[in-house]
Amino acid sequence: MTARGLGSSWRAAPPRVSPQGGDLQRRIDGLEAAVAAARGRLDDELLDEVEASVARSTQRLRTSATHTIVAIAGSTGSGKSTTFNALAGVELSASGAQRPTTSTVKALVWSDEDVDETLDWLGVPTADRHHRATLSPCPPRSRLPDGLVLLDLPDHDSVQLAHHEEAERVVALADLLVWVVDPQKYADAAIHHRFLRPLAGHPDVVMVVLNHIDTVPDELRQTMLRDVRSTLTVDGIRDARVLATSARDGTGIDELRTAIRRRVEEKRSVTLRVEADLRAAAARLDAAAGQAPISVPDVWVGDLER
Amino acid sequence: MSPGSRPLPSQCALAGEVRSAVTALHAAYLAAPLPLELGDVGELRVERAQVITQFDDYVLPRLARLDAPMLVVVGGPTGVGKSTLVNSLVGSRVTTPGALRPTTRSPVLVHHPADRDWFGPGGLLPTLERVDRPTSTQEAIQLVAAPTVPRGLAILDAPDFDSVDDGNRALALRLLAAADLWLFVTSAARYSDLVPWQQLSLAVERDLPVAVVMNRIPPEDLPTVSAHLTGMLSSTVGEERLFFVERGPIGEDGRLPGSRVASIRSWLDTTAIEARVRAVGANQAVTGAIHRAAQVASRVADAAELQVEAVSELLSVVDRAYDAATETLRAALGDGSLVRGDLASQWHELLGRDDLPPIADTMSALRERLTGSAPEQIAQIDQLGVALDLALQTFVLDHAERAAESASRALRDTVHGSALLDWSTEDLSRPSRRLGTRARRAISSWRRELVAVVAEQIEDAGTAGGIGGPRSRGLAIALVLQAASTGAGIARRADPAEPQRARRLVTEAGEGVTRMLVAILAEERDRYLQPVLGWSLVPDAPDRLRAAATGVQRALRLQAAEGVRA
Repeated sequence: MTARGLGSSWRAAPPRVSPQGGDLQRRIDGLEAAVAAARGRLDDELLDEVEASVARSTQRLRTSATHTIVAIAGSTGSGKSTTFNALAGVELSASGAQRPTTSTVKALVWSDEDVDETLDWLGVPTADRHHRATLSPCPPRSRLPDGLVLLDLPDHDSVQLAHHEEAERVVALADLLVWVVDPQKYADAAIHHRFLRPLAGHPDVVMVVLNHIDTVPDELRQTMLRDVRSTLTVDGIRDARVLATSARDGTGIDELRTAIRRRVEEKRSVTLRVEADLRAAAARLDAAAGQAPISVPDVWVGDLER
Repeated sequence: MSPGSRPLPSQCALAGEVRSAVTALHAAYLAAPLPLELGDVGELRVERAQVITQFDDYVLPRLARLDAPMLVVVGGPTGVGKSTLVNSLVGSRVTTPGALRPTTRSPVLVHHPADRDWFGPGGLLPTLERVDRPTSTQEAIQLVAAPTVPRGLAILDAPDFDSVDDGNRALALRLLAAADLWLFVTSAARYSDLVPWQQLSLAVERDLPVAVVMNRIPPEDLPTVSAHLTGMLSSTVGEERLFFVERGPIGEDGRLPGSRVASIRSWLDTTAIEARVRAVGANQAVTGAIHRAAQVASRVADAAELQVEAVSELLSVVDRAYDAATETLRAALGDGSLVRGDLASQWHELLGRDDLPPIADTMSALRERLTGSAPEQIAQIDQLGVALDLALQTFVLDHAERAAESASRALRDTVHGSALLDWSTEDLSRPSRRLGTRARRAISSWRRELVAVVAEQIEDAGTAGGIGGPRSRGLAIALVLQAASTGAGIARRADPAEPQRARRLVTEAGEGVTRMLVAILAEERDRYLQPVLGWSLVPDAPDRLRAAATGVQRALRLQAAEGVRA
């Protein structure tokens, strides 16, 4: 038979730690089976995308499910790096006046465990990996818990096209996305078409931060927040958390920190993200199958859409 | 956070070392579940679960927040006036004493308003919900802020742990495991009850700091019982931590007169101040819990080792069954049994003869017969291809079926094999549900590749898509049939008359089809690994547990040494 016995496969198997892994695994298996059954009957490009999304979910569950990957994304000049630095408690990301400022993904890790495998998977360059614990001998209480992997993404609307792709790639992998927008750019098509629309149906996965709120007159703030919310609703993202901050004067940063802390401590972000991805993939498959002459068996789709 | 509680840098570095050692131990514990009923595993499972719960509830949150206020858990048997005592200590009515036993309500945690952050969600006991009014759920803690509680210390009124209610008792034990200090309350009427004493000795065994309050003492009995209790506890609880409260009228606000509890209160105040200035890591309860986890680790490691051996044995039973099935498949692939029925008659029809000639003859026969690209010839070849695919599918399904039957039968014959079979979500005694689809895909893509190789060899430019013309397709089928009839790959009959190139092609085709079918069988076999992965028992868990336990003990020793120097 093959040279490798089951015993050595067992030894080589990555650990499964997610408590809900069993349930999710069944749904992943179901989706894989549905894709296989639909080959030749549905559009190959669609099936490839669904398959890639399922593969991402599988990988996410295999790489350290005890860590929560939080990505800070945003447009140039929205104060993404300043927000990242405020959360980090140190100046890690250059936040200069020169645009664009961020070109690669940076990671800051709150954990004593080895997360290199996770960072490899995320494609964070070795030079851009930082550990909170080693930055200063005894970190001031930054109030962010162990298990957090914070990522600073490149600008997604900069003139540097390579940045877009890098941002898009990591957005597909993170458990929680913190979108930093500013009063000028929050309705830009660049954010909405490219990044937010594909995330429709993922409300638990997105948190939106309206930065530079200090530049908005008090009486306008609530109206603007409402407007941000309704813009999101149009994109199909209902009930996403929207926070108003000013990374410069510290407004709302504590609130943001608490919100992130809660998400990390709940340890549910991984599951929520994977669930949302699987739901979206199943819905796409179902929609396509509805038009196809032979549909994917109902049992699978029913199983997946829970 | 008060300035006095900020840890010094060297202590901080050491605490980091303890924390990472403890995190490793926690992970090692998680990697060592004991799924099989092997030896005396029941008790160890409980101990393991307790260690993990205590790590999640208490040790890890506490290590993450070294300067967090300390938690005093007030516990004791039913009807000794715990709630009244808590109200009296806090100085206001925060918890309702119940006349009915057992009192079922969420435990109440009283803290200073400034300490709220520490006791909110996400810190200690993270899976218990936080509520701000009395409820009867056991999965919640009621938080009460009271400025009369000293800062840096919170008091938790636990449910009775001798309760008849199992859930109440389990919760009481869990809260006890999350205590930095345990205030054990008993009464003159109850102080020699067995159960509470067992709990008390458990706490002492765990190195948990304990103070004992004897409540509701009739004034005339005070000298007798106080002397008796002091004697009983002389070896476990120091006199400075023994408090005696006389029975007396309870005020309308549910409190005893302040003077009765003044000594307890002042001791708590002192403790709170001490805790604030005390060096990080000097927390006796955390150290005790970690020590205990390290001790239990070696026993769990031994048990896990037996489990790993047993699981490996189960897996090799499966390996052996599938190895045998693979050998059978290889042999059957070379003995001509594949070329039968429809496949054989179609082939003979195409070639115009009813035997299987040497491959060189086949090649020339094909060249003669497939000169043009007449649609009926192409259709004939395609039909033949379909017949070959179907024959291979039936063949591999058949072998997979027999392999699954024999592997599951062999497993049922072992002691723990049923556990593996029953844990699986699919029926492992049958081939997998997706085998048909998978085999179909593998076979068709393998044949496409083979045709491409053949097309390249005979320089057949082929038809659209570059997958080879009818001649390549026909020849590819011929190679497989030839191999299937003459045992390609295994002791193939060497016919010196055959050109070497043709012989090589036959051998390669035979090896290719064997490889593809064996891989399908291997995938079938891998299903037996799924239940094992579902158990989350990691093969190196025993070693990791032992190493982590050693690491934790070393880190604690270093810290203790540093503490002495400081």
